[in-house]
Amino acid sequence: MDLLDIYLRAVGGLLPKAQRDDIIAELRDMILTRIEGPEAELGRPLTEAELDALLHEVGHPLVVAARYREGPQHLVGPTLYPYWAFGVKIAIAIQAAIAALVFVIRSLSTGDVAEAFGDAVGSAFSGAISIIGFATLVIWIVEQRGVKLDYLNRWRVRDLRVLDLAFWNDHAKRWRAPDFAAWNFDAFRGAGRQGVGRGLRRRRSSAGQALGTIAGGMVFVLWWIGVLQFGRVDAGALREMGIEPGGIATLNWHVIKSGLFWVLLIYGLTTVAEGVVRLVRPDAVRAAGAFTIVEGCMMLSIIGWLWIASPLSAYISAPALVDLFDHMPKETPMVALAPLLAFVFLVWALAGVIQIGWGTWKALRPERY
Amino acid sequence: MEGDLYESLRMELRRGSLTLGVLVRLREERYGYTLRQALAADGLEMEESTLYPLLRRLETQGLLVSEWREEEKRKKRFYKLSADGEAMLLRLLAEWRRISISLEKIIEF
Repeated sequence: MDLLDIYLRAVGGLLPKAQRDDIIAELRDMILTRIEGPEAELGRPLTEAELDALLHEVGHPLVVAARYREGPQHLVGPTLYPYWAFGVKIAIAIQAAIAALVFVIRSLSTGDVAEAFGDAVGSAFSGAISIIGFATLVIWIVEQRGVKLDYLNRWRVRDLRVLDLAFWNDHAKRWRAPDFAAWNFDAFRGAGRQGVGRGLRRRRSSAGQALGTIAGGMVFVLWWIGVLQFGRVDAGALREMGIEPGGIATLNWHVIKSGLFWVLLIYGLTTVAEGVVRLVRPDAVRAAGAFTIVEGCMMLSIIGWLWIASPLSAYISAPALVDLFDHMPKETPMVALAPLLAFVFLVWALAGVIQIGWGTWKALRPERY
Repeated sequence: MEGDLYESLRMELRRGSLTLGVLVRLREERYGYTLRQALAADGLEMEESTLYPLLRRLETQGLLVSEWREEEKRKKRFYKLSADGEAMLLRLLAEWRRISISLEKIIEF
């Protein structure tokens, strides 16, 4: 009975140790009983080929052992499958948005579009595989441990805006429609301001905006902590772009980065958190307002430090922006970096003030948003 | 295609019935082979590869009890309905009768 022993040994190796001997004894009895009938008809023992065929009918050891396994015989069961599928879809959409953003930034900064495209495709694919694997692992653990997810029983109709992602493609099609411009202006011509605002906002996918915020925030955070690199910009590269760095090129940027590291990291993570909240709770206007206020305050404090207390302040804290243009080299049509930075910082500071105002408005009057 | 669909729907229809058939037949002590023979005589054909894991599962769930005994020079595992199994069987039979009555009404229309 060598063939039978080989077969039972293969099945036994796949069974839980505690039950192995018991199950194998039962299987042996079942197979021997099955052999008795043909042997009685033939009047002789079965040949190896006949025994092989009989064991084939019993089933492959992997399949036979699986029948004795306790617990779900799947990774993602029918109850949780719709949630798994939707979660994976959102995560892959974020991954694709990040990869697209990184591709654009890398292409612009390094100029090597082909390499940037190859990196983007590779990272998007490996990221998607990782997401699917991670999501499957989480759901498998939930299924195996019999964890009861509260959300399955307590979801509310008001929270269903998170499923707007399903409509993102419809909105994208509308934006590409030939009559989009006319359709858009009609919205302004007709109803009152409040109605128009709400009508326009309804046409945009809140989930799409939230995904964009998450993707942009993730790219920034990953670049800031050094995971993503888009190439170095030195004085030579700036001059090639028509910008004269002047004395700014001699600054120790590590001092500036270390001074700003934590506050910019928190700013990036706050942006990502805002995107997540907008995705999961699109009607949480007050929360969105609070995030906007925090981001505005952080932006003002960052600009304030850069302008007043950083090594950059010697170059951009001149009494008037007009004076800074005296630093420009007159013999070449170059733009000085210092006034350019000052202008950018002023714009950001203004953006910070607007963010604080807008966030306060949303927090105080959510019903008008 | 239609044959595959019929087989798939037929399997779904039979799945719960087979468990009920096993519980009914195990009111009397049997081992795997004789149980399968009895079910086949009742018109409920079942592969051993399906029956044996089902018996172990029902035992783990407390509906069956088993013991190894030597018979005809070979060790065999004999199964029988437990007290919990008997109570469960009565409930399932009541449910089965309700379903049958409902279906009969629908079919009459």
